[in-house]
Amino acid sequence: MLSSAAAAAPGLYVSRDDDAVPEYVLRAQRGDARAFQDLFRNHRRDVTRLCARLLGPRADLEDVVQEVFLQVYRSLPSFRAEARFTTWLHRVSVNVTLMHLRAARSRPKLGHELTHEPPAPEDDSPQHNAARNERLRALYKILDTLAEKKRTVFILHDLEGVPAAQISKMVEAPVLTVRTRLFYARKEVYAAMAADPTLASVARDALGSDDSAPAAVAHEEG
Amino acid sequence: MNTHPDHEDILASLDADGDAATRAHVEGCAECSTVADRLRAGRGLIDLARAHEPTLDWSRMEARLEAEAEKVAAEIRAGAVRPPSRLRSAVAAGVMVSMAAAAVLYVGRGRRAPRAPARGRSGQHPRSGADPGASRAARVEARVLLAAGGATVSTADSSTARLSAVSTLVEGVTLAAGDHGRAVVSLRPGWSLDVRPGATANLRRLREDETVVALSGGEARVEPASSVGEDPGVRVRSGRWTVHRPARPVRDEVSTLRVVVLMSRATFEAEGAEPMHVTGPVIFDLPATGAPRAVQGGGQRPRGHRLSALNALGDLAVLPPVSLNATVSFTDGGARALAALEAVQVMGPTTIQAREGGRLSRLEIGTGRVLRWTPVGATVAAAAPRPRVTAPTPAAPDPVQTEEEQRLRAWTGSAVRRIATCFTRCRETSRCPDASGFIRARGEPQPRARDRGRDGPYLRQRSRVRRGSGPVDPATGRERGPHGPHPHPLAQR
Repeated sequence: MLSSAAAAAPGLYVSRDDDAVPEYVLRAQRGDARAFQDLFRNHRRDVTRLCARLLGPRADLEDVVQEVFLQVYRSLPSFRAEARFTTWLHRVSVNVTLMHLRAARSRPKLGHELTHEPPAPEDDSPQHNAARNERLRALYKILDTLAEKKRTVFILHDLEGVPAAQISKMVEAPVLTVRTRLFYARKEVYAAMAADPTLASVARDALGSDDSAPAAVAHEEG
Repeated sequence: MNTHPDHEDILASLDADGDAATRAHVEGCAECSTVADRLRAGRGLIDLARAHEPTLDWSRMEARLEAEAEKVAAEIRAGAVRPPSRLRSAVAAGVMVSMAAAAVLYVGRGRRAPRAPARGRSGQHPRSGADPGASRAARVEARVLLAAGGATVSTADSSTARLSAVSTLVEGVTLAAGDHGRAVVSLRPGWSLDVRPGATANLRRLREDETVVALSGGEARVEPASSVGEDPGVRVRSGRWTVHRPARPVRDEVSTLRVVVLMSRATFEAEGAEPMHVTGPVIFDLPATGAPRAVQGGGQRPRGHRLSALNALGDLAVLPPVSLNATVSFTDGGARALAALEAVQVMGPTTIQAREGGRLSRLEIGTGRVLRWTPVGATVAAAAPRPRVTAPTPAAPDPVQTEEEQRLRAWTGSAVRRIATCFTRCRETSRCPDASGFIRARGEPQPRARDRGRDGPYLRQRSRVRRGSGPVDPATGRERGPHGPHPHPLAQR
């Protein structure tokens, strides 16, 4: 199932076992400007990936990531080490991203929204990029039909691979509630997928320009 | 009857170790086969999203963040922001435990067997579930302190009217705040009921010796909620809510600090309502601990914080970003004005700092929810001799400031001067009955409440300042301030 696949997927959430607060966090709390830089460099990839998955393909990813770190800097003195720093950091990331999404929803939409076009690797072709973004848009079109809480839990668990216990700390809800939300989120996602006549064709159309297509899609073509 | 397997079973059957029977059904059923194709494609998209590693222009972002990091680090080094200590955590935990115990005791009292009969009453003290008609005490009327956003009042005969300052609130009426409204009423001297947006509250009993409020939805707050005095009177029937939809008592917001920001002009944009332009003071809450409720960065270098606000008209709205250099004044939330207040500034989302005779002090919420000034950092250079109260130190003029901005800045400084003067000169019997200038409470002044809630400052009639530092008027025997009575500062505009 998706959850088991998520646990084995590369580049996913990595739970750090050490409870100790990183040394650069302690230095940053004491007002060491250099430590803020270390904090940013050590966590920017995790935060960016988490924000990108919560946001979907949007043009404002950079703004959100920047806002997350601004918020982290400002709130760092209030970090009490009652939870792991990464948990606290991800909670801030989730909160800032959700606030951004809520604010974006309340704004009037003028024209088409831009999507995030990340800098392509040198060995990546424009067609490859376009196809990948097209498929991500198709996925997020389905995810956007979920209620915010269910969508958040689904993305954190099935895309980001965060354990339910960690999610419960991030969203400040009991573990049982997290599992319930996940259960219903999956149910709704599967139902939306099963009812979407364009889904298979989106995956199929993009396949021709994407050599690294997931095995499941390749199997479909086969 | 539907014999098709559900989506999860179909998806599981696609795996190598899936159920063979389900797989056979899917292969033989056109409908399930189509569903399986779509689910397989969807799973492929999820795998793609999972493997997708977004990248950004790190160097550009790092450059943007560098300045902010340096600023925060400087604030920490200067002592404006302190890392939490174990001791402070322990004290905070102790306060929380004490408050929880007080709340439990309070609820327990409300459910216990009757206490000693109240003075002047014969018979048994009514319990929470007693017959409403058992008490023969005289009925009283509640008074409207604030009605905003279309709050309504319904009488027992089902007639509904818009709530206003002249509405008659007798026993049995129901207050409905509406989706965007709010109603604050004085149930009896010293007790107020705050009906939040979306809430409905029924004033079930309004008697001299007992007041019962029943919440039938949304959130409401009775203050002082956790302070049970000699004659509590007000009973919140917490165990007997009539819940028509998910409802809960509003959480204890002890960590908020209400301040007034003097802004020249602000535009409020509430969802589903037309933008509203307000000129003059704006009230907003600062959380005392933790992150602000909402922060919206304005561009690359956010210059302020967006916080929930209650504007001068009493409407809930979203405050636009407030400049960190905005001048603030206090609505007497328990913190007395400093003796030689020179400047007050919002230094951050949780920090209010004042300068007094060359010394910096920070406003904190201490034990017992008492606001106090705590000296912070090193002593700054002594300011030039000033009168007892002066305006905040004006910021260096912006070279690109327009003429209108300069004029508004001058007006703001002038208003701050007048309000600051009021805070130090006024007495409870002075001519500043509503120093905050926002809510005019009618009726008798409320007694001092030991437990000041978040709305306490608004619901009192008069600004509360220190006694004993001014001359006494021989005619009245009351203090009249060192410079005699003076008109309300905002009236001088």
